[in-house]
Amino acid sequence: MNVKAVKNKISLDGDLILENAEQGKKLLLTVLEKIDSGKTVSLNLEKVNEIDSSGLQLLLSFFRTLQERDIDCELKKVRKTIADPVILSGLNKFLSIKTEEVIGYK
Amino acid sequence: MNADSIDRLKEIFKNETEELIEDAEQALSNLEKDPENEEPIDEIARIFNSITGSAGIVGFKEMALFTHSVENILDKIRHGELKISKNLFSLLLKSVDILKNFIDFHYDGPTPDKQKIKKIQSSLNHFKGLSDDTPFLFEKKENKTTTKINYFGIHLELHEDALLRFQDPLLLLRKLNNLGSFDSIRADISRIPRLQEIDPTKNYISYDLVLKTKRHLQEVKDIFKFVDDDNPKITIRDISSRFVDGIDTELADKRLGEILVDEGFLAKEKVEQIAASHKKIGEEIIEKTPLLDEQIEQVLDKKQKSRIIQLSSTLRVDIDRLEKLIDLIGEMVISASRIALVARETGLQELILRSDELDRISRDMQEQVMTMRMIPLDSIFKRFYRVVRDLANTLGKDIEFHTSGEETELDKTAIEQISESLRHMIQNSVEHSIETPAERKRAGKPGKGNIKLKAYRKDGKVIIILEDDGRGFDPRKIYQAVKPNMEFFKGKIEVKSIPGQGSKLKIKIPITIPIIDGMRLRIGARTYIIPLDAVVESFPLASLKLESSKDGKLQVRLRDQVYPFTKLHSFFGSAEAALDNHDKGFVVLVESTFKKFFIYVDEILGISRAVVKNLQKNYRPIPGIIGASLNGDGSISLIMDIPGIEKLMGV
Repeated sequence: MNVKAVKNKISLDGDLILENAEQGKKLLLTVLEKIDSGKTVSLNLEKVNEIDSSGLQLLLSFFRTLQERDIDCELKKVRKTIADPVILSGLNKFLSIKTEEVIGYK
Repeated sequence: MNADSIDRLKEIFKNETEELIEDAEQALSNLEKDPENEEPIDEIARIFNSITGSAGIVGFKEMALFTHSVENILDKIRHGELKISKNLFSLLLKSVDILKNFIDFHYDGPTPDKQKIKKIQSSLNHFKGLSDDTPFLFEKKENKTTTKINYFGIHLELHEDALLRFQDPLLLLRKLNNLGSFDSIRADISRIPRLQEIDPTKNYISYDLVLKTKRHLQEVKDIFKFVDDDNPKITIRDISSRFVDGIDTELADKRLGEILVDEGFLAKEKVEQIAASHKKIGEEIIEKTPLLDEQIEQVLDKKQKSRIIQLSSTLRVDIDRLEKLIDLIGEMVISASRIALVARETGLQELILRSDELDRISRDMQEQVMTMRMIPLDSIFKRFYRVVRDLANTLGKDIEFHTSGEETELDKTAIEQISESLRHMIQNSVEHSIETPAERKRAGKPGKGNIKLKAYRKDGKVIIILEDDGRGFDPRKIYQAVKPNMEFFKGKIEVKSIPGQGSKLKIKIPITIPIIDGMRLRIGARTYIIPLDAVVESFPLASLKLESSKDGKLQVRLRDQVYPFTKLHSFFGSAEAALDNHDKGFVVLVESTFKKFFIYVDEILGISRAVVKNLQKNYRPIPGIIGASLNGDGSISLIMDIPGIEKLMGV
C-alpha cells in the first residue's frame, strides 16, 4: 500500500482491506502531519480496488480526525467496487461520494 | 498486519481449508445417499461461507469470489428454489475439486504453474456462465417465496474481534441485501476513534436496518447462522405489520429530526443541538449540515405518505350513520329493559333470566358502540408543540412544552370543539403569561418557562389541565373566548391565576354525551333528569332552612354557606306547589360552571342511566334542557342543562 500527498491532495494506492490495515493507518498518520488546516483535503481512490469493514473504518477515522481540525475531506475518483459497499452500508452519509466522482457510473 | 503475521495467517488458512474440504466431501457423499436431507446442504453452505470469509482476509480474491458464487447456488438450494439434480450434484463435486486446485496453486512456491492456472480459469468460466436459466443444470423447484413482502428490523453489532475472526459485517450486509433490499440502514460510527487511537483490525461499526424481502424470518436468521455463538448483539424482529404499501406507518408520528437520525442522515447529538437553538429544524439542518435538500425532501415525502396511510388504515364511517346506529342501539337498550320489566311481572323464571341477559348484552353493545366515537387526544396535543415553539421563537421566549396523557380518549366531536379552545389558551400562556428570559431572571425564576398540558380520566370525565409558570393573566379574558365551545359539550372550566406564579386551567369534559347517569326526579307532573355529574347533594327541604336575601331572593343555608334557591315549576309550565307544601319536597344542590345552587323538586325517583336524545334534531331546542330520554314505561324525561338553568333563572 502506498500514499502520495502533494499539499492537500492525497492519493491512495492499494486495497483498503484488513491485510493492509495497519500499514494504511501508518501511512495516513504520516500524511495527517503534512495537511494544511483550513483547506479542503481531497482523497483520490482511483487506485483502490477493494474495501472491507477495516478499510471503511480507517476512512471514517481519517475523516473524523480531519473534521475535528475543521478540515473537510472529499473523495475523488471512487471505483464502483468501493462506492457500492459504502452505499450499501449506509456510510455514504458520512463518506459522501459525488456521483460524478464514481468511476463506472454514467 | 506485518508480513510475518500474514504468513502465519496464510498457513492457518491452508490447514483449515484442507480440513474443511474433507468435511465438504463427506457431506457431499451423505447428500448423494439422501438428497432430501437438508443437513448436508447446510453443512456444505457453512463450509463455503467460512472459506469465503477467510480467503478474502488472506487476500485470495479469486478464490473468495468463487466460493461466494457457489454459496449463492447453495442458498438457492436451501431456500427451495433449486432442486438437487444429478447435474447440480456433479457441479458441487467439481466445486470442491476447484477448491483443492486453488490451495494447490496458492501454496505451490514462488512460481505459479501456468497449467494449473489455466485449469482453474476454465472451471471458473464454466461457473461464470451459469445462471438460474441454464436448463441442463438447474431444475427450478416450485417457488417457495411468498408474494407477501416482509419487513425485518435488524440490529447488527458484531464482536470487537469479528474482523480477525473472518466475520466482516459488510459481508453479512451483502448477504442480507441479496435476500431483498434495505428499506433503510443506519450505521452507528460513534465508536470509531481518531486515527491516532484506532486499532484498524477491530470492529467498531454497528448497524440498524430494515430489510424488505419476500423471504421468511428463518431464512433471514440463516444468514447469521455462521456468526460466532458468543455474539449476543444481533436481533431480528418481524416488523411487517408496521408497513402498509411499503410505507412505514410509524414515520407519521415521528418528528423530522428523529427520522433523519433513524435514516442515518444526522447524528442524534446534532438534532439535539438544533432543537436547543429553537429554530425550525428544516431550516437549521440545511444551514448547518451538508444534507442535501433532496434528502430532506425524500424524508418529508416518506413521512407524508406514512401519514396518509396511517389515516386510511382506519375505517372511516360517516358520523351520521354512526349516530343513527347509536340511536338505534339506545332504543334497543330501552326496549330490552322494558321487556325485562314485563318479564318480572309474569313471574316466569326462564323468561326473567333470558330477558335480563338481553338487557345486559344490549347495554354492553351500547358501551361498545359509544367507544367508536372516541379518539386519542394525542392528535391535537402534537399540533401544540409547533404552536408553542413557533410563537415562542417569534416573541423571543424560551419555553419548554410538556405533555402527558396523550393516549386519553375523548369523543370526536368534543375533541374538535376543545381543540380551538386549547390552542387559544396555549397561545395565551405563551403570549401573556410566560415572561421573556430576562424578565424571568429578574423575577428570580429560571430563564426557561414551562407549559404543561396533561390529560387523564377521572369519574367518567376527561380532565385536561394546562399549567404554566409565568406571571399569570386575567382569567376573564379566557372565558369569553372559550366558554361557548365548552358549553357545547357540557364541559366545565376552572381557571386559577396567581400573579407572578403562573396560571392553571382545568377542563372537565363528560366522556360521552349521549349516555348519562342521572338523578330522576319529578317537578309537577313531569319527570326530569339532572346529570349526575352536576349533582352535589340532595336533602329533604324540611331539614334545611330557607332564608331571604337582602334583595328578597330565596336562599338556603348549608354548613355556614349560603346558596341560591330556585323553583322550576313555572319555568317548565307545571302547576306550582304551594310554598307551605314545601315540607314534602326536596332540594338538590347542583354545581354549574361558576357556582353551586339549590333546585327544588317534588320527588326524587332514583338514579338511572339515560340515553340522551337530541331535542334540537328531533323536535326543537328548549331552553334549560339538553335533551330527552325514554323511560322504561315509554314516557319521556327531560334532561336538565344546569349551566343553562343557572343563566335563565339568574341565580
